[in-house]
Amino acid sequence: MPTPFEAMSLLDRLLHEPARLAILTALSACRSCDFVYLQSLTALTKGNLSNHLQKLEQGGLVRIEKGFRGRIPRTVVTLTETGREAIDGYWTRLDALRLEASAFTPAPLLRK
Amino acid sequence: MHRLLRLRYVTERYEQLQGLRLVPLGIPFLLSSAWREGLFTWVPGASGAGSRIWFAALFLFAISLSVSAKIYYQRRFGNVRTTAPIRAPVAASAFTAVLLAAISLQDLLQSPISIPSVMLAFGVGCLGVSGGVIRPHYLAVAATVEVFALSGALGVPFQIRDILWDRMIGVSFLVIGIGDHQLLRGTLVPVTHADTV
Repeated sequence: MPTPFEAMSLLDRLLHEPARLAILTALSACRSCDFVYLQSLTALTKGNLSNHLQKLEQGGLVRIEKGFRGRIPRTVVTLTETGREAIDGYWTRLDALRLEASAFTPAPLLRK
Repeated sequence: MHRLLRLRYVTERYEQLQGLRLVPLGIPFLLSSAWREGLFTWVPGASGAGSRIWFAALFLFAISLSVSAKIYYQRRFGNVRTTAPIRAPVAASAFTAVLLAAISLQDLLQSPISIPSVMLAFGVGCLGVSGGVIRPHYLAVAATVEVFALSGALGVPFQIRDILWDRMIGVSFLVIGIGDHQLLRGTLVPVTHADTV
């Protein structure tokens, strides 16, 4: 059985990245939001945010719709059902790990 | 972890935290309190029914400024579609109904304690602690309204209470608006138009 610290390293890396975690956390708190909101939330550059969103879309966690509002291009991002389950599961796992880590006592070291 | 909880809180309440939309609404009340003190006797048509027309015109102007503030937020911070779009209007309608009932009760009981003010203070206080985050500016406003509710019992004359009421409502809009805006600005970074997609 892995220690809590080993289990931490087994967390899904697609989610366990600060910017992507922030994006998914925000998306889990609303129906959808646009690119500008995510940019103001994460303070990432346009290119960086696009990269993260692309990875999340490839992982099936978010849905990206591009359109126009009047003449202004607008990108709307929505969390998919898979994405919602993934972020909920991630928080549950992280909470469990936090409890396990606080109760963890390392095995005594062997003396020569 | 704390930062992520804050992101969640701000996203859930994005529309509510657009505080600059509230700030203009305070101005007509502040001007009204000054008018009640007799500072605007030189303004044409600012007496009798004319004063109500002035107030209505100022309030409509304040609403138009509030709409402009909404556009500012959309451009600088983006758009969010909330999970429960009808929850806020339903809660506001229910609270208005409670407030109207409190006004009727006040007329009926002739209590020296202002029952509508007590209800208002309660509502503002509840907003200040909702969602597990304490917003001190709401609690400060709630405490002020609560003190105002006791002003009748403390012997403050009716005319002075009218002035205080308008001033308190005006200042409350400013305090809540600026406080909410600061909370939003502390979490979101404005995006310049050239960066938007």
